[in-house]
Amino acid sequence: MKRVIYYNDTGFPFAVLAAAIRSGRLPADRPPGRGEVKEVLLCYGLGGGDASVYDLGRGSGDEKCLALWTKGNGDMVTRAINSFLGLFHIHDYELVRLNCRRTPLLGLGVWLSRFPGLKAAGYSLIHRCVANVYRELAEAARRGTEP
Amino acid sequence: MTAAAAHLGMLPLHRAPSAGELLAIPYFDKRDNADHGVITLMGVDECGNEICFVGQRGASRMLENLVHGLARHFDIPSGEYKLVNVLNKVNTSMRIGGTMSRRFKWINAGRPLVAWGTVRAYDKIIKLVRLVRARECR
Repeated sequence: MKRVIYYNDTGFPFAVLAAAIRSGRLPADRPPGRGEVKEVLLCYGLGGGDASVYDLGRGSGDEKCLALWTKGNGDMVTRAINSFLGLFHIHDYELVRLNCRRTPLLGLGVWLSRFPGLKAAGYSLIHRCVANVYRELAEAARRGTEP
Repeated sequence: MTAAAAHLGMLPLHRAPSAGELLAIPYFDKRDNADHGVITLMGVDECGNEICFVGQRGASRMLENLVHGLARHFDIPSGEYKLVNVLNKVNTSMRIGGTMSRRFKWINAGRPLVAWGTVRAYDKIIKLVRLVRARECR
């Protein structure tokens, strides 16, 4: 079974969103609603990213959609994934690196979402920022399905 | 890398090595920033275990999460590999010397400092290596 690994190193789980699009948990053909984004993010957290690998389900071709994110060290993560899987002679995977930026507004949204009274405002900002890069995420999610 | 070399018998197990012995190890103080994350095979020990090393920029937790996560999702049994974190055995001389040599390319000043620091930390490193060898070669 093929695995697609989405990852980014900006400290925000863009990779989770891309994997969710790939597996059908988020729509690929329209911007998501606020509740849809929140639901996905609540499952995996908004922390800086400790390179934990999450399974977002299966894509249309029965491929496993995996996601991980970190804060920095993206180049090292690429090499570590390729060399670790290479040691076990595993080649049936695709690594998709996302280049979406964590904007100050997005950072503010994440920060606000930590406080109980400001959660709604935080997620609203996050949704707005995600909507701005959603087309890019959807394109990245499609990568790997095309020959 | 020093621990991997000691495990493979490239360095003495019962005394501290000389700076010359350390500098003779393949890759010693020769890996750059662009090599961090590459899991490199150093050799095979007498029990048939492949001994590798990887530089991780102090992000050992990140690397552990990544490796364990990949193993889980790619159905690699946990007994097939073992991660040994040697970072907590690294002393200040090794850090400063490494930064001078690898980042600033002040090799003439940095490399002897790394080697000196490694000799001083060798006792701790070798204790860890002995423990791992005892466990893995039972």
